[in-house]
Amino acid sequence: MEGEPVQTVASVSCSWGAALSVVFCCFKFESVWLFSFDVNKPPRACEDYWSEFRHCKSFKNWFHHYYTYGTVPSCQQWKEDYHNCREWEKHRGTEAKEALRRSEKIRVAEQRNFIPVWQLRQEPPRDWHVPLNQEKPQDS
Amino acid sequence: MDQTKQEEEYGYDLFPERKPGEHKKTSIAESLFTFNHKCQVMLQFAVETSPYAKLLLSAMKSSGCKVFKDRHFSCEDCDGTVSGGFDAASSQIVLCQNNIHQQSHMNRVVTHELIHAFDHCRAHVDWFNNFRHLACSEIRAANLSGDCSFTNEVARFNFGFKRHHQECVRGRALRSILAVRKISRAEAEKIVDEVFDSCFNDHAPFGRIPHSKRDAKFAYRDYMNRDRYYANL
Repeated sequence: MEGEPVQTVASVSCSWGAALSVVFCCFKFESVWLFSFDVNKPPRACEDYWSEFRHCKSFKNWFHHYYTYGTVPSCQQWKEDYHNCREWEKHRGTEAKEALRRSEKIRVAEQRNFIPVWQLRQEPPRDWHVPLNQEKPQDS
Repeated sequence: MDQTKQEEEYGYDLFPERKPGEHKKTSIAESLFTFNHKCQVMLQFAVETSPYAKLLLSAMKSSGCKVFKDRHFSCEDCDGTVSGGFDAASSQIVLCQNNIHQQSHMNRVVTHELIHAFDHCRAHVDWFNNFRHLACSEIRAANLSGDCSFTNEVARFNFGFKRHHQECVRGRALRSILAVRKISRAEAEKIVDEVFDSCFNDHAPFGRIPHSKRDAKFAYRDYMNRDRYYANL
């Protein structure tokens, strides 16, 4: 997926919400702030795994997969991930958690299984927002 | 470089209202007597309702290239049967108002050109001098925009099934390159072959090949949940 945050924790700060007596701990990844209710959860909502499984098994998906790759799609992993997700949510089992994380890491690796043709930018192009009819700086 | 030569070399002759380095605003008379208004309405509908477009616009905003309709889209009359283009020199997506008459077609062209814009935003793409870069972006756009869906291919009388999607992507990327650059077919085919495996497997920002609106909706859902996803890997 695009927009992956850099995996270094730059700073951790906690502050007490006095009125509610609830602790909010904020983890900063680059410029993206996550609140505590976003971590220690399955990567996706469990219903998402089930809907992906159902979608994968549909005739339409079978058709599109064969039309693209010449093979039938394999959907079993989505079902396993759904069960591991429920296991994680219900019993907080370490085995289920690790199995789910392993499965998702394989998915991420599959999406990156190519050598890019171009070099990625560190910043957007300088002339993206320059109004028309103005001199544009040469983009490097 | 001589301007006429530049126009022909980089495909600007397909977009006669667009001279490199110039900008012309649409007059009221032009709006009344061309398809300009219809194009604007269809464009607005596409960016508001197409899950493909919404995902690309979000991804571009996250990459620092927020898209403004008035600045980054332009409805113009074009030559021949071309439907649209991306002008890297002015950072504008051109929509051919005289060749796009259906909303589904507009949705597809907007998606296709936004993929080029997204590539321009996130990578150092040398549109004018590096044919491999151009080929790569065309492969990605044909692959991910729905250009090569089974129904679109059947409508073009291209009847193929097993792995036909890849053949279509190759063919359309080749056509797009030949339309805007003066190189031989053999040379263009060689370049497409060289970069095909890499670029066909680059599904950013979708994370999958969105064959249908449902695929695109799921991809959009995944994109909006990406913070939680990566935090819990």
